[in-house]
Amino acid sequence: MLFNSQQFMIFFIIVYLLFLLLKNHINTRNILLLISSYIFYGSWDWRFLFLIFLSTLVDYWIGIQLGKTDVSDLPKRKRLLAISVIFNLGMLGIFKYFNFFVASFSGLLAAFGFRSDIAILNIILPVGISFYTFQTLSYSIDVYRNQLKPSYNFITFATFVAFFPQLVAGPIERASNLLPQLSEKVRITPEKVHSALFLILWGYFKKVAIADHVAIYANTIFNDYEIYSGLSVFVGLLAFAIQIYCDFSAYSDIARGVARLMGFELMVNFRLPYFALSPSDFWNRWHISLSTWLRDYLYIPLGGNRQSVAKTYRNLILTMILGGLWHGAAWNFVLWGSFHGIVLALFRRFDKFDIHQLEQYSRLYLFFRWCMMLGIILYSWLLFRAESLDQIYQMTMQLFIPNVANITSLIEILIYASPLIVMQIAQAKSKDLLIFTKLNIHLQVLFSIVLLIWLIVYGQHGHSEFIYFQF
Amino acid sequence: MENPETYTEEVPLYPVLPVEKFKLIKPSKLLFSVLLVFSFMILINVLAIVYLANDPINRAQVVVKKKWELIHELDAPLNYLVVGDSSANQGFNPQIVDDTIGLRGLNLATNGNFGFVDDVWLLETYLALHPVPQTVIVIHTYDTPQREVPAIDLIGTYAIPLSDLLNYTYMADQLSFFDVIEIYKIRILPIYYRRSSLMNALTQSFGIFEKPYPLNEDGFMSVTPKGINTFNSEPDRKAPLHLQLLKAQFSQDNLNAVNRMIDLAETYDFDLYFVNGPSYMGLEADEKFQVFRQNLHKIYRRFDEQSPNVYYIPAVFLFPAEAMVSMDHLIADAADDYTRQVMTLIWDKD
Repeated sequence: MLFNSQQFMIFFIIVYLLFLLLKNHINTRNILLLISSYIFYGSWDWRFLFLIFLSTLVDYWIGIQLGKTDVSDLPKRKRLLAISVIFNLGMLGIFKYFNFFVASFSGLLAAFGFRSDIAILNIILPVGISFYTFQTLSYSIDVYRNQLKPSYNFITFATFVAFFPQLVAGPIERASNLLPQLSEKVRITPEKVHSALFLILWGYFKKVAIADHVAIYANTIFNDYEIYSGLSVFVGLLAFAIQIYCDFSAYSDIARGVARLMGFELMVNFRLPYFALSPSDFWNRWHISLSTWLRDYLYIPLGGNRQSVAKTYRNLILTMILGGLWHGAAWNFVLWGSFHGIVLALFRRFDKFDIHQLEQYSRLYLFFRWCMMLGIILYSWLLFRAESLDQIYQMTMQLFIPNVANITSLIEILIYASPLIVMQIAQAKSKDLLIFTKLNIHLQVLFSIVLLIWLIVYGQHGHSEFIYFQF
Repeated sequence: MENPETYTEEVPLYPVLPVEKFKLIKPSKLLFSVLLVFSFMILINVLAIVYLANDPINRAQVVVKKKWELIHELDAPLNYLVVGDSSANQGFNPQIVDDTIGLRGLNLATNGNFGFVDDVWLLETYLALHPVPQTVIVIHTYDTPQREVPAIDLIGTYAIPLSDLLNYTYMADQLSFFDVIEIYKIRILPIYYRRSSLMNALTQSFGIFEKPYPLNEDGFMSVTPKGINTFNSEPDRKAPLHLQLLKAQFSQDNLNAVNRMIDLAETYDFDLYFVNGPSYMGLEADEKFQVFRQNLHKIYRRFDEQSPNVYYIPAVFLFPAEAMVSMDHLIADAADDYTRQVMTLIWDKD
């Protein structure tokens, strides 16, 4: 059930009306949310309901057992945590990475002249598995660390795991944020409803009117990469950069808007990432729920920056490689993660830029940095989107061939993205992601009508999936 | 910008990072603005319904609307009718028949996307209002028979009042409750379902989207070569792609429609002729296409054998590229020639 489908709109209207009737009865409300979430998830593939239920059961039990285990009994606590980690990562490993590792291992053996007959399994990737396994893992780890009390209400916990607005494509919620909200009465205020409606409208607009349009350009260039060079390759990168941002942030916006209509606050997942002035600034703005998850559960346990310089770089690169691998079982994602890790390490080593003290830098310098960062990010999307190492190599070489064909495509992409550019500049200048809601109410009505007409009449309504569903 | 009363629930990691700042708003103000937006969207939708009822924009639908008007405006009996697709719409000129052998007819051909289905609708409507013609000629191009004609899309977008279609079109009997819901959705939400047409209406007002050619009072659409790129842009290169997609078969929708027309021919006792539309001689010269054509002939012959009222004219009407605007559409002069050939085969066979 895609967000941009009539089925979801009907589904949500029904659920929301029932929710409003039950919102003050916490348990009944959560039962409604849980059933709705399972219906939502089951609409993708009912066979995987068992999987998410099993994951819920395992981590609920782990949480309770950790709650019963004394804090000083570290060996037992570690064993319990290990069960959660092995189970969740095991599920990911089987469904997402089995074929990748088998194929890679076979390739390695073949390189040494050995034959491998290990069969590749015909495994369907359950929608959202990367998201909810990380979500439940964060719960187990936080309870293990004594940073969170375990949940003793299975319905509430199951609702946290399966909460439909963010189930299939994030944000990856922390139990410390969402569980308490599910255990309390909600407060739906007018300003929250106001901002929620904006998030939903803006999310749909980004997906239908921008992402799905520029996707056509990106697909054209990337699918026939051999024949494009110079500006054409740049156009493809720009188109994909806009597509992936609009597509992914749209899902987050709609998810947050839908949750906020019900009185729940999900974490902000994007903070104008293409305005980043350094690599670490970028990761404080892009897919924040994943980057903070990797920071808290991978980078810091590895030692973070508390050990030697070399180990800090190692931790950075390793964390980003695994972050890349999270996106998909393919070497280009490993390369993408490595690229970002190396860039982070290099900037940490050589760059003295202080993001906390921007006033000491000239505008020209900041503009230069912004251009540089944009270039780095755009190139990284080549690694992300390419389907083979050969494609990465060829497109990289072709990028520098002087060729100014496809100027009209560039202009068309910028026209499609113009509302996004205007909105983002306004958000950046005001440092307010909800700047739209500060406009005169009549202007908000007018712009809302314009956006609605634009997205209905000019939007691509082919019900294309959101990109991050494949992760 | 108003002076807002805002608050934020976040503390940014560093000053340049944007956060969410909520602005206090009265519930009544919020409700009013939401209702205003929805009301405006409903108003735009209603205006779109009214506009499209008057001018369907879509060229095929404009033709449909005009043809139905011709049926209702007819004030004298006819000797014959022509139904079919766009190749007949701009291929058969009733004026030629009138001038040559004095028989009066109407060209009710519309568009191949409606298959043979709307041929039945037009025929039934005509028969309900006027005396039975002696002859009905059905002209379709070679790829119309295989086309699926989804009832929901057809009835949902057809430029005729829904009540008329649901009341006496045979397809209406086969519609489920949910099909009817879908049809009503298409009809009452043109801002979504007819958005291409509405976009074209906007560009039309800037002279970008061309209006359809006007129809004569006998239903013939005369396509003049002036301002038209006649069919000379590598037709032989396009032919292989064309051939890959061709299947010598009738879709179930079209088959049902043909059987319905045969029933009508027997009930009302008129002669029903199936005639091939005009086609490009380069295409017909292709061996693969000839095999396809032979297989299609077989199907049409079976209709001929079904009833003494039904006749199939197996002749193929070939034209050079300079007489055409596509593989199966003629310019006006060539249409006159095509009409003469058909006329000779139907009325001059003795």
